[in-house]
Amino acid sequence: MNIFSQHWKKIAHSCVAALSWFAFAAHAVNDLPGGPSVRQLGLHNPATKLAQEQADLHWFMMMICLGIFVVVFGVMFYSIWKHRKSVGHVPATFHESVKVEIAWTVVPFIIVIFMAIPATRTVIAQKDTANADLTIKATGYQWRWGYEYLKGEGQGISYISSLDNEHRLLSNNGAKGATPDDYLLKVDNPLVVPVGKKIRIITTSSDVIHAFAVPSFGIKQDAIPGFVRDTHFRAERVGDFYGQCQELCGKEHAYMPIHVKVLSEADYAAWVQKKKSGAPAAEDKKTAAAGTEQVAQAAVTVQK
Amino acid sequence: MSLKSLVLTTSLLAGALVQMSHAQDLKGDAQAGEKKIAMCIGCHGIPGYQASFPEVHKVPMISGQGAKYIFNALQAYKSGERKHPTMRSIAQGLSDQDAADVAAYYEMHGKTTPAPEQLAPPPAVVAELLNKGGCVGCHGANYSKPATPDFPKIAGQHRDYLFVALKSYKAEDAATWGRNNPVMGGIAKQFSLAELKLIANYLGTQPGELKIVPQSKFR
Repeated sequence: MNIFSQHWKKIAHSCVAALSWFAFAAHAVNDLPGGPSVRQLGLHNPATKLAQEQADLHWFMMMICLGIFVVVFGVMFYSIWKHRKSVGHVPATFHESVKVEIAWTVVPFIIVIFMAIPATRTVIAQKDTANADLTIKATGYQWRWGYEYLKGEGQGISYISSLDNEHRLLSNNGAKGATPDDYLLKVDNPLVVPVGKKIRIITTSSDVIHAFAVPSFGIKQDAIPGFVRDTHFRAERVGDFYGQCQELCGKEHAYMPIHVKVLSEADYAAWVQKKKSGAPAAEDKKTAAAGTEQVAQAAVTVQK
Repeated sequence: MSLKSLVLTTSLLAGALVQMSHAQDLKGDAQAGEKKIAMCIGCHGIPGYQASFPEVHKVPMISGQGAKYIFNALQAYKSGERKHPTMRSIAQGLSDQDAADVAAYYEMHGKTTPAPEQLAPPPAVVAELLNKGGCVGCHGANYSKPATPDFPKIAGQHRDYLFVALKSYKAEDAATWGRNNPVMGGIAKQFSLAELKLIANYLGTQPGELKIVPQSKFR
């Protein structure tokens, strides 16, 4: 008896511990605007028209499914209950009914068409990457994203975006204690784009298949080595939006986040100015200088 | 000493000098390095892991490699002297200090017994090729004792990697792969691909100090 009560004590203790852990976890993390929310069930909060359409479609389909579920199971349970054997019903003996067969073929067909019409409109809009204001190539590396501004304002800018190492270490230590809201989503160089402009993202990879995805924009596109694929978005509001690599790509797959910073047009222009005149250019100069220095030194040594 | 080898030695020294002057004030900290190697482990810490671009080959073993060489290689990837898109992205994300720390970590990683001083003599064909390339001059008599820490240990490295590495020294103009190293370029270009393969196969089968040390499955 004593043994049992000890066991129960242990179980109760661990339950309390688990509960307090849940409570603690709920307190430790907050919603991340543009990223995941605490106890999120639905899709991300949409930030583009297409993402809004996707969310609407998602609920539209869900409601149709729910309607079909209620009708089908309602009829089934009603029939089972109403025509049960114990109140004297006998099974019908007919075999094959052309009327019924036509009905159960045509009705679902009509439902599918009814669902396909709005869905097709959105899918076609998703694929329409023409007339973009800004074209950016996103290259998947194991395990970083490289961004190159190919066309539009900011053309020529290119940089690598990688996870903040502090977050990586936090994860290595089991993410104990209070984790930041943008846990494993904080990068050193976010992808910066202007608000209200059509941004075309060209995806490719240098090693294995990655996938570029930002749920708030409703985009997800595989980045395949040796191939070029594209997707597009037009952000409707300024802010930070987050995504992750969505194709299993190796050990650090979970650690190659995507952070898109949407700026107002003026801020974006300022960012481009800064980026073009600032740090990377200076760095280029430095390496160029180092190159000449190397050549000069080599020449000197040979002369000696 | 022939004129050719004189030029070779001077250019080598010049290169070494420049690299030293660049990295003089950098001191790698192996303990700090341990915190920056998550991405290295993803390929270099998995036995049998193969790179898929530009060619399929096993990723080189880096545990036990010389710190100075690892640092140099990372810098070369960063500057584009060595072209490899994935390694370039990795190297660009490391500051000079990070690279030095990572290099220091991997030099000590899995360090055990040193390689034997003398290797079994290679077959006559290979011996001639090695002689022609002057490999011993920089990489050491047992190919694990480079003349200066700037050069890699190559004994026991993966054969297919050695071959691809040697081959890339021959390709300087390709956009996405190849290595522009004046010294190794000059040497590799003397050989046909078949000859490079013989060299790589010989070096890859020798006992060396390089290894793969996988991450522990438990914490």
